[in-house]
Amino acid sequence: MTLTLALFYLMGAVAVACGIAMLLSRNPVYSAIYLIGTLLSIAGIFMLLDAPLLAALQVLVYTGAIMVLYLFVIMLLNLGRIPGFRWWANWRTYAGAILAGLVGFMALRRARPQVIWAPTGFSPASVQDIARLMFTNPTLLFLVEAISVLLLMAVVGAIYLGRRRDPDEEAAAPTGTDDQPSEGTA
Amino acid sequence: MIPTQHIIVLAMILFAIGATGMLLRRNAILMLMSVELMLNAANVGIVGFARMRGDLAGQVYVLFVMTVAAAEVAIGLALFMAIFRTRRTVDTDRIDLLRW
Repeated sequence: MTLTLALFYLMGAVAVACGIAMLLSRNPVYSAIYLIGTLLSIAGIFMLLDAPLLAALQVLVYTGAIMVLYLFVIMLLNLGRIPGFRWWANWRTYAGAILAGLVGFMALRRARPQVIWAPTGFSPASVQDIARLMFTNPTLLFLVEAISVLLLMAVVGAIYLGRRRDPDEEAAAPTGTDDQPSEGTA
Repeated sequence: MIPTQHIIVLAMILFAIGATGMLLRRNAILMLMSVELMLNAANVGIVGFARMRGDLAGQVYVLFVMTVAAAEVAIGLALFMAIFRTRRTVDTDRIDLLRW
């Protein structure tokens, strides 16, 4: 039992540390690698929380597909070291800190000091149970259909945005490579 | 065993890191990565609550959130590729055509 808790703390610490490192890294490739570390830790936490299917899908979909897409685009755009963000000289930092403090204060004022005991032991959800629930519950079945339409729209939109332009359209598009693109004439 | 409060605190910390990155970083790719981190924090919270209540529907919703995240990444990266093709930058301070 304590081993489970120790594993949870370990993976949570790794996730938070990799998240902060992603935030502070100057190189986008390093940020992507740190985010992969965070996502793998979250997959381990899913494993501890009775969700082995979600852990497998986290590794497959997030670190296997999405992060490879990120790395591919970063290397395609040839982003090198980007200038670091001077967070101490940015008013957004202080505004965000004050807002987060206010929200946290309000949440803590409304919270009840009540201990919620999680179930003990493991009862991993099987793929069969999840599939049976997903395809028999009417609400979830409707959501499955809506998600399929959303995925189709995403595919069509991505292909449309990434298409090769016509030559005349390319000539008409503003090629703003200088610092001040022609906004006045647009 | 793992108390639900600790899971929620972890989700809150991860969400705060993602929101901070979203607000502070000016690189569009890094902002998308921060959105990914926020979605994952929400997933951790949903799985924690599903485990507390013994309800399997929470895990199904996490599946949906993952699908929406995948669609969002595909569209977002295609948008930034299209922007980069004309403006040669993904710095959101320089993509200011619609700014006042």
